[in-house]
Amino acid sequence: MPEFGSYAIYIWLAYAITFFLILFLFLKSYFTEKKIESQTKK
Amino acid sequence: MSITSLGRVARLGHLFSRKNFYHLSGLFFPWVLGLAFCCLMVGGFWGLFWVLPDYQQGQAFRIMYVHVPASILSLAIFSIIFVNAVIFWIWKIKLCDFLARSSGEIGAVYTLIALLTGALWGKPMWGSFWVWDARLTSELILLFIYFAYLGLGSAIENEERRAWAMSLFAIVGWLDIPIVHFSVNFWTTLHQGASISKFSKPSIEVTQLLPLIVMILGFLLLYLGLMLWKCRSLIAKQEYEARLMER
Repeated sequence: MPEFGSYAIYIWLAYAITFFLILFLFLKSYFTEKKIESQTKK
Repeated sequence: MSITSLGRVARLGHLFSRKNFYHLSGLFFPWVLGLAFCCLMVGGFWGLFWVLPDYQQGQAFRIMYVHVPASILSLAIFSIIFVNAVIFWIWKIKLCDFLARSSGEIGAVYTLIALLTGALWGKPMWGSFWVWDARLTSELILLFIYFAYLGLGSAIENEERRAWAMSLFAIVGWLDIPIVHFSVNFWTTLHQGASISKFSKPSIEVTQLLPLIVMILGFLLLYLGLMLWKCRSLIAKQEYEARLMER
């Protein structure tokens, strides 16, 4: 595993931001589908 | 046109009907998302831990593996929205409006990723998170165009007027895409020029290029999977609302 040195904070932040924004997209799609499913069942 | 040809066109039209699209996308999107997850995991770990550091930029170049795919897709997704908007504008195919609408949110998030990771790459390389460079500014304008496109979608309640306004806005907004792409050629910019799009001789080492291709594929599949998923929800919502109106 490489040592990122002084760049570590920038590298980890970039990957963490990407991860959380992708997670946001995924969760939003999931909850939108669930909401519509519950509406149509009613 | 012969009867056989007309039959073929009718069958093709049936394939792209909303009902068929709903069922087909339901079959495909979990697999596409699964494949996207695999590509992102492999490409992410490959780029982050296995590739050797760059001779000029050292370890900081690893940000490229999230920045470049997000940037490429941010432009590509708006071009897909543009194509769908044009088709909807000419032939009034409702599915194209759904496809364009489903892509907007994903494109906006990809543009945000490109800008934020670009800022984090800019600080160690340029000494600043942000410069009013032609590429960065035009990409920021693209983010505002995405926000305006999404805002327009939620602001207009009438379905037909909303679809009409969104497609018109997408066609006009697309003018920013060539500006973003060619900004590094038109103006003297701090942002580097093309490096991987020169397929004949990419100015990037092959061991660094391979994980980048895997990541681009991962971002592309993620977009396709999420877009199909969102589109299904939109179709279901519209069918539900149409049934309510009938009662």
